[in-house]
Amino acid sequence: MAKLLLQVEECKKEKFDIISEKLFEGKIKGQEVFLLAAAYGYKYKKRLPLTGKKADLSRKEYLRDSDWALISAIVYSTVETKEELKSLDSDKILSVIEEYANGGIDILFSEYENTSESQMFFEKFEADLLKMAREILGKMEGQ
Amino acid sequence: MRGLEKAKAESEELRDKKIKEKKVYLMKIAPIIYSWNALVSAYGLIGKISESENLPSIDDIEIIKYTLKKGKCIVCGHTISEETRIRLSKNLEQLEKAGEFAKLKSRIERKYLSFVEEIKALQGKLQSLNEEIRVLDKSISMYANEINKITDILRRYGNDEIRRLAEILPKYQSQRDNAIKTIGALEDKIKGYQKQLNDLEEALMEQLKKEEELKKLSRYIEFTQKLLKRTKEAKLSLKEDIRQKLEEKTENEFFSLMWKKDFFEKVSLDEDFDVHVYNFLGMDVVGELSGGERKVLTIAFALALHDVAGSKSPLVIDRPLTNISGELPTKKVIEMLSQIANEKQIIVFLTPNEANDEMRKLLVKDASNILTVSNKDGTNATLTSTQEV
Repeated sequence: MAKLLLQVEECKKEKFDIISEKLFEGKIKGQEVFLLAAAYGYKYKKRLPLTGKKADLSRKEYLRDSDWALISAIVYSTVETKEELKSLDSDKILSVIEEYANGGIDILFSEYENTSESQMFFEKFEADLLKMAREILGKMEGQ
Repeated sequence: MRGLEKAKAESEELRDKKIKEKKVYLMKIAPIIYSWNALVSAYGLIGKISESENLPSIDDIEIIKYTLKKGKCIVCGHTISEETRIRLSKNLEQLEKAGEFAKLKSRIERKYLSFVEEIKALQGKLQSLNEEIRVLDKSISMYANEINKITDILRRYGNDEIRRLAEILPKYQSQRDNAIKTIGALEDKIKGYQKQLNDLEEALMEQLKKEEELKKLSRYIEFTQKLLKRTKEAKLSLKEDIRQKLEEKTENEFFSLMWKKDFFEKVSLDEDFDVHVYNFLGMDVVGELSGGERKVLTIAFALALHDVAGSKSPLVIDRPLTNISGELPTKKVIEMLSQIANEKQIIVFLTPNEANDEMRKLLVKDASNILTVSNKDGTNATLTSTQEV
């Protein structure tokens, strides 16, 4: 049966909720935190298979085209052969991305916890993103 | 001071809103930037696969589906040949075999360029948001300074009265605001009551008008009742008056015509104008009168009626001798008629039997004119004057 839900480890569900409610003051939804966590996992190369009991975070349909483009790209980057790439379907892609989100949420939550105020988290977050964006644009110009 | 505090609070609210907007923006752009290497890698890889395996894009699939459905080329509008249709169907089959890979590939292809644009816009967008936040922070700081200055001034003066007034001012302003609201509510109530009052007055006026009409109607009824009573009384009085006159006249005529004057004592009319004749013993003998006596009574009553009615017309008596037997009564009736004729014109009808020779002798003596109606041939009647005085 095709996967309908985005799942996380039950013991980490609270981390997703805290990031959504406290860090982003309820302005972002479960699947958006999931995507951020997965991106964190990819950035820090931390992919953890889900163990133990699982909890439902959001429904698959809530993922937009742009979200699918990102998670597909992340998952494609993990395969080595063309055949493997062509054999990926949405269920396989979601299973892999859940592992990245499982690893990424630990890092994201740790950064949040290590800053005494959310202001500090965002200052670092913003600086980090700006730095990376400049590097990306620099590379593009170099090409 | 209150105005400054309000402006400061509004600026703080706006600044917080902008900060939240920035947080959400950062959260949404972060996955693109963090996954950028994967995107570049995937974009390159699927490009190579497309080239080597000649995979068309999802857009191509849609074009082929449209062309097959309509049977026409989507670009030039020409009807496709059977050969083309078969070739396109095969292509579509191959494409659909590619399944989800083609879809995912298409998503990455379509989104890649928009992601590039978003990354390019990041710096400008952040600068803009930060500038807005900085301006708001500056305003907040300025308002805070102004508030502090005023507070300092108040503190420097150290005037307890000023402080006390400054403290109670908001209370009175609040009371004033409440009073304005209360006045507004009361005005609304007054308007409501005024409307009710107007409605009641209108209803009252309507009622008074009805009562007035009822009074007027009542007076009309009272007047009509009185009028009716008077009319009834007048009618009764007139009726009684007529009855008395008629009774008196009938009695006078009866006794002047009647030959048995000692036997009868009184003639009267009851309230229904029924005639009664009493004998000398005081008994009502109207039912026992002979034909001649009854005829006398009838003529007396008719004369009385004629007189009381004030009629000047001739008195017509049809066959006054009917039911009268005997010479005396007949003679008396003729005499009576002769006597009446002294006062008013009378016309008497008699049959041939009644108008016999003997009767004619009597009539000739008193009648002014005797006319004979004959009908010998059975068709035409003739009128002959026998006597004219």
